[in-house]
Amino acid sequence: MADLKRLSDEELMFRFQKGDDSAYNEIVERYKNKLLNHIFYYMKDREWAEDIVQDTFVRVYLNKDKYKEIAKVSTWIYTIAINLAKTALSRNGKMNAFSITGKDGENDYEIKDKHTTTDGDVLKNELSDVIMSSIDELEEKFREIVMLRDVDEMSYEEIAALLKIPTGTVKSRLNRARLNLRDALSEYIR
Amino acid sequence: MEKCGRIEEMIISGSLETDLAVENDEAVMRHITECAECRALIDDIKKISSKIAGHEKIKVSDGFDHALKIKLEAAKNEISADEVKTVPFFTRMVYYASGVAAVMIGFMYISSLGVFDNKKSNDVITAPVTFTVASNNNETKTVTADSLENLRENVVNDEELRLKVNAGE
Repeated sequence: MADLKRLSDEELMFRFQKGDDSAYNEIVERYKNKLLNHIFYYMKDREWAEDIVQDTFVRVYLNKDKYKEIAKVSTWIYTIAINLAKTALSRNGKMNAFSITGKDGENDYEIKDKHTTTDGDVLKNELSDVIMSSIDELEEKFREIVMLRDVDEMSYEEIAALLKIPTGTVKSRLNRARLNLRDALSEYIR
Repeated sequence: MEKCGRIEEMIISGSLETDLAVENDEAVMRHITECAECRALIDDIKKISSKIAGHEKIKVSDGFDHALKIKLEAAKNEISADEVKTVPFFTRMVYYASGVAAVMIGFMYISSLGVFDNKKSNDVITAPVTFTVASNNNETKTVTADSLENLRENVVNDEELRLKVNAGE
């Protein structure tokens, strides 16, 4: 198992395609939290997001032979997850309600530790909420890229492959998104 | 004071990335050393990015792996059941070919009965039939023929019957 941790995603996938289920387990381990954080932005419901992430891994398992090495494993897995999330949302008529904050402005993304809250934490959490709300107000094409870059820490190339847009477009959208965020948050970040 | 938009323009035009390794860009570094506005812009953007990146992440619940295992097993079982139900391609082809052959044989058999023959209405009788030919004197003669043509020939070949027909009896 220790060996598996040193392997790249693509090497793990290759092993998994050859029948090594422990490689699959390692892929699940690497991506389950990342995917949950990303899909949560679509679903706004933790349980629902977990369901989508599980369904994603089921698809990965069943379709392992469809993965071709020309794409990165991360791109492939995120594509499956995002498609499942969008399909689930459109079935529930919530596609247009894609927003980071919860219902009625309640932000259920934030996991607060009630026992250790200090004045500093309150300010920190408030700023965090304001930032997330500001991201929520961005156009979807900007919001998605900010999340993929700053939350999921994907490279420009990975984002470009995932969204099927040129790398230059990824950069320019990210730039514009950040400038918009700066305008919206100017009074909070100084 | 006039607003300096140099760095902002560079960001919008894409000539400066907002992941900002500005330290490697001498011209930008020189400018932000002198321009407080552009320096503030870069600082703000860096601050926002790090706030977003540092935002507390959620983790899957304790039951996640178990639930995934159950879903995976269910999906595998469903696939196995589908495989049993699914007839392999070669077998399907054999079924189709047998069906086509059966239809063709049936068609050929029905065809052989003359059902589709256009001459039927004129002189073809579908099976040998026995006719009773009667003369004017009510003398009868039985003839078996499978067509009107054969019937005529039978009459012609039957000397006794022919004589009676010719004599107008």
